[in-house]
Amino acid sequence: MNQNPLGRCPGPVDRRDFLKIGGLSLGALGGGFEPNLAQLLAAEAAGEALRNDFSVILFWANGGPSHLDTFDLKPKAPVEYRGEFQPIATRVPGMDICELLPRLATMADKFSVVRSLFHNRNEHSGGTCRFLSGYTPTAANPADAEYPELGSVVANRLEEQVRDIPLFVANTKFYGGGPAYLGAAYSAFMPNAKSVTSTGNNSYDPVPIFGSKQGDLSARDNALLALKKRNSLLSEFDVFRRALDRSGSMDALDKFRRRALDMLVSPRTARAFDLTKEPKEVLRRYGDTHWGRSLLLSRRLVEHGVRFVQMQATFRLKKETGRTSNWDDHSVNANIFGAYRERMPVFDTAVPALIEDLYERGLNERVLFIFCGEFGRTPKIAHQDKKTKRPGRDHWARAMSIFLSGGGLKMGQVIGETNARGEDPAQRMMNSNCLLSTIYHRFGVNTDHVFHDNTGRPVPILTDGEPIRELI
Amino acid sequence: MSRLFAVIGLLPLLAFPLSAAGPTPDQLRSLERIAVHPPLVQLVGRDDHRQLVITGWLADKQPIDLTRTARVVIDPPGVVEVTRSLNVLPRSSGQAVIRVEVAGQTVQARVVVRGGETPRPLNFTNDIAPLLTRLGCNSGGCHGKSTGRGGFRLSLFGHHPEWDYEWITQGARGRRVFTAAPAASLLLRKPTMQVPHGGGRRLRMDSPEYALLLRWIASGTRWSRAGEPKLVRLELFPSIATLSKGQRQQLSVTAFYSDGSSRDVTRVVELRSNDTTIIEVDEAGVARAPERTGETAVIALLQGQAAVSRLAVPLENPKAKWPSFPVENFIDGHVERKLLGLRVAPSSLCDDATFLRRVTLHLAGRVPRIEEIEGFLGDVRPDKRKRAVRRLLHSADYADFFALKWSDLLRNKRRGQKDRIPGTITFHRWIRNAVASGMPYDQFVRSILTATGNVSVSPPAQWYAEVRYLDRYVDDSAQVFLGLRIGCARCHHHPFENITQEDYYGLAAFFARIDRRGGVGVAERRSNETVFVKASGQVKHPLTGKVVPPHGLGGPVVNVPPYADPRHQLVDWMATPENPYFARSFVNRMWAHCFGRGLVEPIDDLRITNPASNPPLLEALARDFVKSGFDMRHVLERLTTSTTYQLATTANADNLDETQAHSRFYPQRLTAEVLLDAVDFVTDRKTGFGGLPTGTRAVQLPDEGYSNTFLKLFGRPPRESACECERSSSPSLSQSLFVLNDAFLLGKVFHAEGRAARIARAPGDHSQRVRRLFLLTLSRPATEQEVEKAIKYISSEADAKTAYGNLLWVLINTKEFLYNH
Repeated sequence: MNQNPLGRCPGPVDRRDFLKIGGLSLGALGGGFEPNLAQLLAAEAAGEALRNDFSVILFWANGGPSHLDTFDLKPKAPVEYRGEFQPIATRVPGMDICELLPRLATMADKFSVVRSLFHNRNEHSGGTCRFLSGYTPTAANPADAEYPELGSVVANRLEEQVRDIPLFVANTKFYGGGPAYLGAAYSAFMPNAKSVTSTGNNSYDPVPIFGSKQGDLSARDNALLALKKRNSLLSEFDVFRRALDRSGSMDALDKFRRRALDMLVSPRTARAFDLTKEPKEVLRRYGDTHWGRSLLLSRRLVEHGVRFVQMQATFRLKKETGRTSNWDDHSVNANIFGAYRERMPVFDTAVPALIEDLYERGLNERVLFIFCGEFGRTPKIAHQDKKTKRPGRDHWARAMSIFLSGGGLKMGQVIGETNARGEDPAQRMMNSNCLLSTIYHRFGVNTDHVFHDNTGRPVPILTDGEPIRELI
Repeated sequence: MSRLFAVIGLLPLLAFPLSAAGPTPDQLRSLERIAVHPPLVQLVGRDDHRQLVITGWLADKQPIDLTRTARVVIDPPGVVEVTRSLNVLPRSSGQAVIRVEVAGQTVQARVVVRGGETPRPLNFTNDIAPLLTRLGCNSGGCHGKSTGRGGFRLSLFGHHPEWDYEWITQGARGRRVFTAAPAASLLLRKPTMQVPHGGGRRLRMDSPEYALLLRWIASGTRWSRAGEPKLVRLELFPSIATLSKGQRQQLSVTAFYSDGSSRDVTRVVELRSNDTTIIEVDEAGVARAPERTGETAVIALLQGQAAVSRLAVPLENPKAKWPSFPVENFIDGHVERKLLGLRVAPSSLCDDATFLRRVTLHLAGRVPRIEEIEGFLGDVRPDKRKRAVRRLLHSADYADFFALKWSDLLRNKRRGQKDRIPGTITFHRWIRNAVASGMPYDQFVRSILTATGNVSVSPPAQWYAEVRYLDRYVDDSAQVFLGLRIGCARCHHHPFENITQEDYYGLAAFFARIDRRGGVGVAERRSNETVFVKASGQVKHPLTGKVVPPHGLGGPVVNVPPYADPRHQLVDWMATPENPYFARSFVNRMWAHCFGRGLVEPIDDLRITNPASNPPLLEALARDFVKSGFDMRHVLERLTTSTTYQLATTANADNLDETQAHSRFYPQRLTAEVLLDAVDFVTDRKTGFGGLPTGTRAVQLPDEGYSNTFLKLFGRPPRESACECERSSSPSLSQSLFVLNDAFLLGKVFHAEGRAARIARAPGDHSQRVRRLFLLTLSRPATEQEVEKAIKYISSEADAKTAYGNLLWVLINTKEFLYNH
């Protein structure tokens, strides 16, 4: 097996072989099965060694977390830059992080920080699309991604590995995320599609992924009986000859129906989503908060076979601190330092608990935890809010910090460095696609693989970016 | 699966079993005459060659390839040598005659060899660049990538030989080619893996390609002389042929140059089969039918030129009886000819109930109502199917359904902005009115493409406001109205069609004067912008920097005075009867709408290298459409009243695997809106859409902004592109979970005031009620067996409401309900 699919260009595959490869990877989902020339281009990237045991938990600070107030502090910068927090030393010499994260500081050998990533889109949804797809969208502020997001690509490439639990699970759709031209089948499975928020109906509030009544994967006992009955009845009446459809659509329909039924009746799947199966003590360790529950659930999901978990790290601030529940701490939205004083203790409980679990359970080799957002924040503090003049920071895609733990990567290091004011990478300047490349590399996904957009244009998973060598 | 691994790594040449069948003794006995292609072989230089193709005609008038069966005598000997596969190689200058003999039949070819003692001088563009394409070096995944590979870049598919020449001869500080020690050149050492090469072994040292490259380097890496001939045309012989399973057909590709010369380029071009399950083709140009019955194209590509050969593989031993296949209109004539050629008998006609459901779904976007079904089944008039088509085509539902289709393609989109709703509703109403009033298609397109003003005075201006950018005006209008995916040519020559960047910017120039102003809201999502034509505006070719005047593909160059709006001339060019794309693209789109697959597939990818499954039929439909005055209803009426459309889905002994000649009807999944409306109809529960009156059906929604999980999961397109492919009808896991476990569908089915509950409460015996439920959901009478089974189930259930609810849920989830068949 070729563990390093990168840097190899297999070149065009023989047409006959391509058809077979296509047949294998697409299975019954192939749909229109005659290959056309455009599809032949896709064959150029055949041959990958997909792992069947690797998972990612992406804890997403939507709005953009401040690198200067979390993992890239600049105490020597002028006062209008450095902010209110002091760095503290960690177990790893030279790796200083924010003073609000004392518990994390004791376990710095179990995570790494990359400080020198950048990209080129400064608005939320455009930045999210850019960061998670590797491509710059054409439209400004696109609500949906123009190129498929990371999780959708993973769900597509690993499709043949799906068993009785979805491959890609999220608590909410990201603003600027989505499967784009891969189609709805590769969007995240969201158990609570109706988005009833945890605190009411504010659409910015955290959406709980756990314990929801409907759309949930766990059918209740009575419902389960009825479900089984209806399905056996269906097999009696659904007599249309499947073979008459050569497109594969009817095969796929039956396959998915069986799989969905498996998911609903399998106690394993229901258990994965059921937080009550965790001892009270464990929940206490994570902190009985939205984030604590989200990360604990994430751990349960990857343990049960979910391959990509996406948790939006929304957080309701106190009214006097700010009016939002994302990380978009402009002066008009929040007092950024007050906001971090509220958020980070919760973070510093939930994240260390997850990391501990990953390492204690030996998951650190096959589960990668990532904390980041679509960009960093303006190093220079601004005070635009007319009423309060409170401090805030704006959007900053020129530099950002990424927090990683596990995933079989090398931990306990800081990679890259920004300049004295945290404005631009000064060492190991890396396009954010290097992070995507690292993740795909761990999944064994060949980034040369070509999808076709809706105009038939061949678009490889990535055109640039290399796995971050210090991590591998 | 083990075969896959066995085959990978073998050269295509070896993938053919050596026992491939030639003509049978019986066939040879009935041979009537033979012909040789080409009759005159002209060879220039010692390393030239020419592939001969020998065709024989049998008693049944079927042509057959005899290239590998023929015996040849050369007179006088010594001028040329002819290999066993009939490749003619020069040996000395002079003239000769090649006498060909097969089973007593003879024919002869004349040969003229010039310069047979010395190799022909090579030039980069005509000899070396095509090699880089054939070996795959310059493909998008390898060195053709815009950033190159391993520090070496080539132009994508070799469309800029002048760049390639510079990068090869000057790049890497000259290490790529060593004229002093040619074999030490990186250009040779890399692809032969003498030094590590990321792309693997692409070239063998004993291959003619290696020898050619070596000679080119040794002779001083020549670019070309002034006045070097240019490739003007490619020809693939034979252009059409029929093969039986396992049989071979020698193909021959000839390049014609600007100086009138021609050359055999069979081993130089890229040769590809569009469907390798039907036809495979090897590097020597030998096509073979491996297993499947059907028809496909083999294409040859060289330096932006393309040529196509259509090869059919008929069924060997037809078992099915040919049913009655009444020719209702010209469509059936073309389809019947195709089926006769493939020797695949069509299925018989579908029954009345199936027809009514099928045509109601296709033309009105809904399932038929009980009264309609009963009326139709009871009708004894022989032309009742035609009447049904006409009734549906003039119904309000027809206008709703096709307004939805065009609203998708024209991206009528709200983008989450309340302010935009009046605009999207206005544009949708405009489209619906155009469809309902029978506006001719050319006028419809003209109104859209020449729109100015804001949406309140000129609803189609919404298209300009939404599509927004010059390149997207070109891409969208080409994809929607010409069936061309032209975006490739924005940055490079179209890889599979002779469309240049000049062509692309010629189209862009028509839109160069369009601008927008005013409106409210944020950048991409402004509403009520005014579209206007500026006094001037032009586009420049991105490479040459020269101004490109407006012109259609192959159309006249348009001279645009100041203050004029050239977009009218764009539509003039589109709507001329000779335009090869405009009418064809529309009829192909409608064909796909009714038959589940386009004659050209994908439907918006009309190009010479992607020919229609039935070219004369596409041609005839387009002509008929033009003749009707671009009447959209007329096309749909033609399609749905044809016998071809009325064939059953069920297969006969031969046509189960047939997927493109339309020997039977191919089932299609109901699309999101149609399915939701059908569910609402059979459950008698209405789905509400915010801001629209109760009772508004999903097919009537004006824009994409009415959030509904069902529609989203079942593939409603977000209208982010101009491709119908955005509307996904493929099943997914989320759909299944939603249907099985979400309150949305279960709520409709088991609602206390819903259909099931009311039927459960209704008087009458179960048999009657079950029959009604079947008619309602599956649009056909239940069979006795089904009634019996259903009653048995109902009696086993304590509660009639649950029983009927479950039965209704089951019927909604049958394939018969979920598909149009």
